[in-house]
Amino acid sequence: MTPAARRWAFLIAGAGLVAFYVWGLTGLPGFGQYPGPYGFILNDVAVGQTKATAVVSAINFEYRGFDTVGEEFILFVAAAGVSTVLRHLRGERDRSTLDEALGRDALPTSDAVRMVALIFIGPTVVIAWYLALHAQTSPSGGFQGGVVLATAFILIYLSGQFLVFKRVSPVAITDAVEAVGAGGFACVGLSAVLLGLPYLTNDLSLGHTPGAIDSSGTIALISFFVGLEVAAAFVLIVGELLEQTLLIRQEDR
Amino acid sequence: MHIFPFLVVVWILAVGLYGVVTSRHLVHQIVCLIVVQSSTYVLLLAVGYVTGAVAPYFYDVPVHTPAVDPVVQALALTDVVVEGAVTALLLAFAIQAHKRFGTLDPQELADLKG
Amino acid sequence: MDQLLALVVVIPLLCAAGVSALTPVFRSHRRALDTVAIAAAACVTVLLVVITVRTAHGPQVYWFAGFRPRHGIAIGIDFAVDPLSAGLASLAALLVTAAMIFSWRYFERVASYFHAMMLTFLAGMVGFCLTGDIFDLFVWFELMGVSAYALTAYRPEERAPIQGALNFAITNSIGAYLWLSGIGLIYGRTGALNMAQIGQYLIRHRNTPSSLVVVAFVLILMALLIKSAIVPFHFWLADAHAVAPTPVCVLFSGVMVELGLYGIARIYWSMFGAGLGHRTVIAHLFLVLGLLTAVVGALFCFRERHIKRLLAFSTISHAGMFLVGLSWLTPLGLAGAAVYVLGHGLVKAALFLCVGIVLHRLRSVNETWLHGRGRRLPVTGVVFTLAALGLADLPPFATYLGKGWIEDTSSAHGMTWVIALLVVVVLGAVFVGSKLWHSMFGSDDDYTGTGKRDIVIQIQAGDSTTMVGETLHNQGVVATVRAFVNAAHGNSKINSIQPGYYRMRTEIPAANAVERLADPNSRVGRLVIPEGRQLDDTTDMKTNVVTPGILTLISRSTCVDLDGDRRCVAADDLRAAATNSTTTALSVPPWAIQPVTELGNDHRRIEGLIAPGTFNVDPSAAPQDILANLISAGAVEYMQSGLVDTAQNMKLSPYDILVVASLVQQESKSQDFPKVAQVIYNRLNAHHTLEFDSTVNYPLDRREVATSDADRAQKTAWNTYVSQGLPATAICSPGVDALRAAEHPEPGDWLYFVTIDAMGTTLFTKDYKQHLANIELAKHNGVLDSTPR
Repeated sequence: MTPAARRWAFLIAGAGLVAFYVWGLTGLPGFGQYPGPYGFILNDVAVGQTKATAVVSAINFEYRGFDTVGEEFILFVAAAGVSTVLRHLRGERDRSTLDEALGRDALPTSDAVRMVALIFIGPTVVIAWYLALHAQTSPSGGFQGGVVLATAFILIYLSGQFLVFKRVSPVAITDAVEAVGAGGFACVGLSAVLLGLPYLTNDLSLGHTPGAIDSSGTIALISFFVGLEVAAAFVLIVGELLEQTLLIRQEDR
Repeated sequence: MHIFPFLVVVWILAVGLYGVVTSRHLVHQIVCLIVVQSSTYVLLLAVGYVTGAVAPYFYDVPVHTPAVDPVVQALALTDVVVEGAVTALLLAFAIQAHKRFGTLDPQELADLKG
Repeated sequence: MDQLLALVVVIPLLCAAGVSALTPVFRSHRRALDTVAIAAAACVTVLLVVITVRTAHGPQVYWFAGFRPRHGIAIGIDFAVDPLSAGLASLAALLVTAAMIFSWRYFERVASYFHAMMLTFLAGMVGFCLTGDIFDLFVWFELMGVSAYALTAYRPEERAPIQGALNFAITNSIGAYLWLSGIGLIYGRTGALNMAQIGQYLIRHRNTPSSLVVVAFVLILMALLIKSAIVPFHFWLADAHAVAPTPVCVLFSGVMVELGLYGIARIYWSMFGAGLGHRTVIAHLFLVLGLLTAVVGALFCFRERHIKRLLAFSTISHAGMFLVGLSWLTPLGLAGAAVYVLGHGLVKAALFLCVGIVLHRLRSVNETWLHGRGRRLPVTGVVFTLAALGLADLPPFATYLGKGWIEDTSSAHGMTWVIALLVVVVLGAVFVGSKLWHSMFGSDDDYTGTGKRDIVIQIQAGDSTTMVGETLHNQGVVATVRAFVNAAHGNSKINSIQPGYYRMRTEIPAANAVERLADPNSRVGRLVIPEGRQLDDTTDMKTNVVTPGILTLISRSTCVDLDGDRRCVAADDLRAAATNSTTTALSVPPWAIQPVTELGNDHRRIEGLIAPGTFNVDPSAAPQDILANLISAGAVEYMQSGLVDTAQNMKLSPYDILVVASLVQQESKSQDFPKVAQVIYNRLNAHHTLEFDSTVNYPLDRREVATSDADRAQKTAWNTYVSQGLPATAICSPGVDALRAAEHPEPGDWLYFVTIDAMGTTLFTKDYKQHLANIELAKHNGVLDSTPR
């Protein structure tokens, strides 16, 4: 199909889809008039039941925690897929990182950039863990914390030191951390099964004050594992993609 | 008036789909896919909004204050992660296509199929 | 509550994570890895069968995290299992186990990723079958999908483009996003995510019909139709099959597509069915789509040659039939479809595995084995035959039973013409089976006669005899791969065949094909570019002999005689392409883009970029592409000789060095190259005009030792008598020696040189007076002798 024909075919079909969709949207109860009941019930009971003040996190890690398990493994399998696809391109032989990037990169990084990046890494890591561990309190949680933690590693790359980035995040260890994160989450749920309760029941102490650091039982623990997994997955993915870019530049194709 | 935010959803979806269908560059096509996904976020979050309500975090506010729907926010969080995963995988495919066939044009790749 | 329900999803997930975490341990214990993975899958299969049996007493419900519904409103996620869902999940687990056992010998390398991905695929499928929550359904759908995309691209078996995996991923992802939109809509109205609860809401409110419900249903339906490869969303399946490894294809055809249809049944019956209304419209929609798919799938089978694509289209056709079974919206129709799915899943899996075995053996085995091969795979042959019979829906296979029930339902609804169409589909299936059988196990199927028409085929570097056979088979030259491989057995010429383009005929006997391939006259597109040629033809002024230029050589190499029609790419077309195409279209390397663009619209701008050497040119390619390929090959050559690095060290641009090399090539013989190069650099540094006759002769397309005064005074972009510095472009394609000389000139301070005798002795000097004396010597020896004009 020629590009022009494809464009026209899409415009016609697309117009139909849009009209159809808009027709469906008219059935919605208007912006700002959410009818409930799911959201309202959870807003009412969540704090009491889980001792977590961040209801969204409670939903993610407790009420609908099983969804989150699935989603964690989606990320896991995507990282695995990226690794497989890109490693095949490199060939299976073990290449030392030295001959991949040594001496070929055009510009040496300025010291100013490196300093700034270094200064930021520390706070980034701290913020990341702060976010990951406060899932039950505030709009943070494992995902957010994990992504920020991955950023800390990427900062190293951004300061022009790809080699160092690879050295602090060797593939085997990152793989293992990611698997521990995902598996750890699944195991937390399993602990409930071993106690005869349904999978993922909150079987740790719920603490006294809602929203305190030690409250909400498994929510905090799950959030920690999720943070690990997300961070490792993103470091892995970004690392693989970057390695490919450098290699492509190497071979000058 | 009550439907305008939802029209934004449709617009984003249409624009993204147009991009995917007519794209001549794989990375562009993948990003258009992200745009299509964004329309679902807007839909979910718009659907859960309650006029005059607060965010569903009860650290500073008393527990039974009317709050917006937290469920859609949780769903949107899940979707973001899923989308990130799929995008990463697609980009890896794009790199493989470039390496093997020297082209990132979806039409050319289709012709190569033979 | 039955904890098994949670375990069947958690076990494969945990196993996947564990296998991945322990990769270093498994690296040396590959068998252990396989065993663990197979054990996990087998365990899940057994558990699911147990669950299926238990659900015979009534549906089972399991609430995760202990959150049971309050006042009829679900606040957690549940698994709601009935015999259909559990049965389908068992089929999925069984096929995964089979696929993993098959992979035991199939992949030649340790790969813990493969096992992890298969296990997550399994978890996704099981979760999809068992869940009762629409968003959870979506999550497992996505897990299934992402695992599938990753597995498709896992180890592309053939040279098929990654396009298959991309197409698969993009199409299914769009489906997923449509699904999410549907969820958003339905949640916005009902405020629930539990399918049963939504169903109840819709029933309660069925008297206030809403466009929203229809749209939400259609959006979710579209996603599932895409997954089930129903027309018009079926295109991705064949592409994915062509790319994915065989064990993965087993799962795609055997159960993944069927899960899409299960999804449709589920959302219809659990959520929308009663509340949506429009029952006849929906039934007819499914019926039409199903029949269309069944027929289209069967028709495509007839024209497909690629074995796995053939099986893919057969799956599409069967998927259509399953949908027809569903469309009656009755229990018998559903039951018929379910049994049919079960039978088809197992049969299709068996077929794929047999095909995989045969392909695997053919590839990794050398020719001497092939003689006894038919006898060596007797079990495969028998299983294959049985499976093919099952695919054709013959008794006593389950497929016969299932289809029979569907047909019964059809006739009960007075639609006997449906049965007629289904017969067409069966014929298609029979055709598929027999075609496969012949190409795998059948007697030597060979063409006879002299063939139909001429074509050009390409042999790529590294192709084994079998791959050559496959190329020939795909292009219609030989009837079966096997025939060709047998005929080529022991032929040393075929074993050592060069990559390139060959002229063949379609539909010829295999022995004939072998002969043609071995015949050097069949080779086309062979281009040899000697060193020192320029783009245009040049005439020697003394002898009037025309030396063909590179463009003429290219043109000649593209000449192919097809069916009496001699077709070449004209040199003028090449010249036009060189003049008008953009630098990107011509693949001009980055270090040459500026000089090339500066010269503007003159075909000479690409002079020197095509390196000397031997090339294979595609006779059917466009002139621009031919040039582009040669230029990029040239760029690689130059790069490998160190052009860019030397340029950096000498503080010149790589293009300049190329130009210097071309001058060196034209101005002297190879023993003097390094010295001449040094002369050039010395003169450039001294801001001396180079004064090379070759630069005067270049635009005049001639070769001569000395030039007339009138010529030398002419200002052209190349004339180094008039212009300072290097000519605008290279003046020929320099050979390796000239390049090396330009990169590593011999140290010295000479500024002049002249050849003094017929043997090519050249004298170099710094002193102008000495140079004049040398010229006299040359004239005395009769070397410098041009007729004054």
